[in-house]
Amino acid sequence: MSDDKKQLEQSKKILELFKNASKQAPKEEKKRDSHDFWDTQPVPKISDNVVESGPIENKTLDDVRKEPLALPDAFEWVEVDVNNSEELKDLYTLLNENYVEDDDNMFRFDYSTHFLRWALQPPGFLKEWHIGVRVKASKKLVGFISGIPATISVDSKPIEMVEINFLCVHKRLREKRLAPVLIKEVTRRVNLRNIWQAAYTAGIVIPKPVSICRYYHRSLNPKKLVEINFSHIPPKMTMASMIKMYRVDDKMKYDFRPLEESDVPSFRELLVNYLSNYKVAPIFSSDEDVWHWFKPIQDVVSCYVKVDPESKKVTDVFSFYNLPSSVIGNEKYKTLKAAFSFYNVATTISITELVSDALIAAKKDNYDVYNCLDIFENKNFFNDLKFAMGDGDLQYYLYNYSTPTKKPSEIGLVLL
Amino acid sequence: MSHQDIENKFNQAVEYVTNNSSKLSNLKNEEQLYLYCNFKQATIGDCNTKQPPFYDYIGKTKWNSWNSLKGVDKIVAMNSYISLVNKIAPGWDSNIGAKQAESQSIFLEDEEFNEQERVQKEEYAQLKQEGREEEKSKSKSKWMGPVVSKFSMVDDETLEKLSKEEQVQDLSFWISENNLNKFKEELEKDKSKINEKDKEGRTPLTYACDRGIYEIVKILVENGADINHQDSEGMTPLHYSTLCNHVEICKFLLTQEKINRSLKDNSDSTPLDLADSDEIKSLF
Repeated sequence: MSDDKKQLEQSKKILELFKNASKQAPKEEKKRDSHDFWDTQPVPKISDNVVESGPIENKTLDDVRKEPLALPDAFEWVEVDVNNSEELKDLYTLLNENYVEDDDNMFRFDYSTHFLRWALQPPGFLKEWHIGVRVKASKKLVGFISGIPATISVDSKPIEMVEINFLCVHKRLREKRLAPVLIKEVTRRVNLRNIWQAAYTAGIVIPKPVSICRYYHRSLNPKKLVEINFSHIPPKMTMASMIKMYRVDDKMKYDFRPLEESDVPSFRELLVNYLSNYKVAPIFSSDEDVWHWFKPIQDVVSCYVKVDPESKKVTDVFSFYNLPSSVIGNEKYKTLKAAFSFYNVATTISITELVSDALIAAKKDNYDVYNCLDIFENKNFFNDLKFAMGDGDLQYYLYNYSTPTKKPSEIGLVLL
Repeated sequence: MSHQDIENKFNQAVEYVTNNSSKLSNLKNEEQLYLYCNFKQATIGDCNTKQPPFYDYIGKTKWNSWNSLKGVDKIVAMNSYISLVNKIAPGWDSNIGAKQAESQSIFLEDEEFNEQERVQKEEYAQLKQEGREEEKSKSKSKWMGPVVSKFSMVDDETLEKLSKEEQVQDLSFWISENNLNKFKEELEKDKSKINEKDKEGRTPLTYACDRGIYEIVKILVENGADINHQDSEGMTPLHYSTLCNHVEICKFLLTQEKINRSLKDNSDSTPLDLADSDEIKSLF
């Protein structure tokens, strides 16, 4: 057997093993209080069989409470100004120490300050939706939740909503108590602006997912991933074959370059057109929006375009954002550098060729792993590009809007 | 100290460790394990859970450490725990009183919070009694937001199939799954198996170099393992060491008298050709 063939066989074997790795169904949250809370909210019940799309309740501004929700005496509501470096640092620290961890408590997201500025301030953002809770006496920031404005199309109907993200409560304050208050407060402030729907994601199943999606991973630095237990070598397989298998070329195959401001009009056209194929997808309604979300920012977001030499129009694009995780309790490594797939559109080459070049770009920027969900048409390249299934499910949710359940491949929305 | 005093002190130490986990994150693995197994022994008693599957390295290491304390009295385990905390964080208990006051003012002023705390503690104690406190920690902080996902581990069924396919219980197998004690035991029993090849033509030394386990590489070489053995891909132990960037092992192999550094694998590469880092290249 030739060496190439041998290598191929090895790769197949390893991928096969990863593929068969525990395909357990997502766990439904058993915690009573979480369900108790969601039962009071305008969301479909888990058992509901939704056939038509539409709002669940129709309220008016008169129905909305004018004062903030009550907090225990020791705490106060604050708006977090992410352009103030002190306040930004408080938020960074809260998230860095208390935000989402994996099931085995080995990794915790480490959103950078630059990232937070970018993620929280798209055109039209409101500071009043960057909601913090501080301890009155010490001014310590112990809770946070955010909303940003977005137009999202659900079954071809555009809806003004907010994307809710970065809900975080200090570990010492059991989130049971504060999280629902934060959710209610952000809902109230959003309602006061005459917006009644929201999109959000969660790792657990609560009433009721619009879609249940799964993370897939592509090793770029297999040795480090094994050393920090992000990945593992199946018994009797070798690190050597994993290293060979996950190598990528030094140079991109196609002529991609970073997005420039002058590309934006044709890029937006391409993107809007592409996203109209999906049942849940954002609508980028202005060039300003697109430039905000895709303007390359070092160590925050990368966006590469391929431009038609004649017409100068963008024909293909790939983008990813930088979301590192702290590696908890590892002597050698403090951080895992992960690229998360953002929006990709391929028209002159295949999606597989496009993402293959994205992997090369990510490797060049020293990412250890490239992550993406099985949304969009992503399933089409998992096998060829050696992705393996992750242990994390991500559920998509809509607040106060019921719609028939969607397949992952019908989702065209990425929440940071 | 009375038993009650020790127990109080122990609870304070546990609280200290829990609240200062970020400060203590540079603890050595052995220290972390020591805290873990004494905590388990002190709160639950003898190890009462199933041994984790062999590929779950971390889980298994933790389980082994706890299991090794079988029969140790709870009070003794508490004392062991306290002395290690004294050692790694001298003076940790000097302002316990002040800290308690502070934490109360920050977190517990509201009556409801006190109640919450009490209920949580009871639930936790209940779970702990059943040896399921991990469940509690897993279900934490999951209201909404993104998800940290990592590669799924290979499941039991697939592994079982694999082990049937490959008669895996040889020396190479124990190295590849990092069970070094078992490996040493088996080597002791029959040293003639030191160069035994598996289906891929790999020897125990191949796997030791691939995984980067310096200690085992040394034992194997000192006991006469063939350091120039080529597997079915034509790769020698040195190929594996350079490709996987194991610097210490490369150094060690290169100082061996019998080493042949110019053997080529089936893709016509020498060990030097496979080296990725300048550090390795400079050794040649």
